Amino acid sequence: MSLREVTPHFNIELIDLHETSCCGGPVRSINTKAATYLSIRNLALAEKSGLKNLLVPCNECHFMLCEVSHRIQLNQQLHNEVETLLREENLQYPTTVKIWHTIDLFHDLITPEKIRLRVKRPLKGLTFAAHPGCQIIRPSEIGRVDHPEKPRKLETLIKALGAEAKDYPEKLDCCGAALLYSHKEAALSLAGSKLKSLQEQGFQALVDTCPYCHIMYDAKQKEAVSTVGGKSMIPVVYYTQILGRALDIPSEKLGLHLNQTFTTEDVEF
Amino acid sequence: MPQKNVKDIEKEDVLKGPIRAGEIDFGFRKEIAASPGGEKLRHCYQCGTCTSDCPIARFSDSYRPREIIRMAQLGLKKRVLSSNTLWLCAACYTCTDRCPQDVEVASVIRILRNLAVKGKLIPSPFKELGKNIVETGTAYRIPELRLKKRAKTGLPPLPKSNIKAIEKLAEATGFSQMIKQSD
Repeated sequence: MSLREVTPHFNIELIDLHETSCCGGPVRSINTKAATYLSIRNLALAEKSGLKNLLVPCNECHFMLCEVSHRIQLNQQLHNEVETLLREENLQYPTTVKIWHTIDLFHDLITPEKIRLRVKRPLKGLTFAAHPGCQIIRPSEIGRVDHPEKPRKLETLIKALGAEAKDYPEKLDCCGAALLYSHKEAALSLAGSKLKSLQEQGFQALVDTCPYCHIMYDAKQKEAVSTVGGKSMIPVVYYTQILGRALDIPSEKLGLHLNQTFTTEDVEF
Repeated sequence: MPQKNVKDIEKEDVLKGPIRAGEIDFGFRKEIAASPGGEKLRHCYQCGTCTSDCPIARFSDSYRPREIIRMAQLGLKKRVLSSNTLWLCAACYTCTDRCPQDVEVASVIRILRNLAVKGKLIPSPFKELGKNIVETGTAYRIPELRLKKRAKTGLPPLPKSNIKAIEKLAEATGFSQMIKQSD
């Protein structure tokens, strides 16, 4: 919602891709082959659309599309199998479409300098913790959007809004979303321990970009924090939501009222 | 697979105990190495970087990626495939990225999971996710109420999946069969 609001400010038009499906990530553990086809089919549909760029805001979907392409490139047999299956649907093996994520779209393409020029309401006096998420920075071998050990792009983007972004020890920790449906307690402990520590360190909010991480930190926060014996809450917002506020877009248009952990009493954006 | 907490999984775990020569499957590592992502299994020299960096190992007393890799190397097929801890990996890829020998630890675990469910009942959360994908195109069924809420915000309707194409694909990869099995 907030992504759709902010992109036009930077002359980027988003067009919904049709006929696509789940990337297969959630069922990869039980049938990697099916997941591989689901992912590459989505990429092939993007290619067929004639558009040159595909924006994938979810870390897991982004990872799946990149990893599957990487594997297929390395494995001729898999390549042939995939091509045969795509041909049945009159699709071609995708070779040109470029995969983007929210972080590299804003950092590498739009650039923090340009964002700084567009900011109307600098978010002065606010200190955020950045959560890039796991699968967008690792494994580096398949080509990820930021450094696997020292990801800085999301912080740079936050600073471009006039806010502070401080490092914290748990920055690289996983949100646990992949375990939410099979091992809820383990997933909640992972998310909860990070959130609890962030509260103790005095951050105003946690900034993420991935919807899967956002479920863990925002929608599941109450459960997660209580799993590790914590009590209070910390607001969790998408980067595109705070960017939108810095561009002076009303908070309802950015869906801030839909966040479970956000109240204007906590933070004045 | 019903929801279990980590402590129960640890109690039931089958990884430990003396190794009997008869349980070694010598072809097992080749089987893993033949799957994309498992190629470098034999490169592991057991340094333990994966376990010490694993966020799950921090919470669990028994989830140890290094052990899983060793069992796979040794060919302890039955033991490693029936281990419940196999399902505790959160796929954060810290182990894969930091392995000094370039073993794709998380991918080996994914391959082991694929082998573990081969011809067996698949854990129920995965079955549900799979069913949702084949029937609706998405892993999670989005409630009608939420779609109405979405429309109210002024967002365009969600693009429709091509269910026929997904069904075909699921058929070709054996995925349909997997999720059709009865409990």
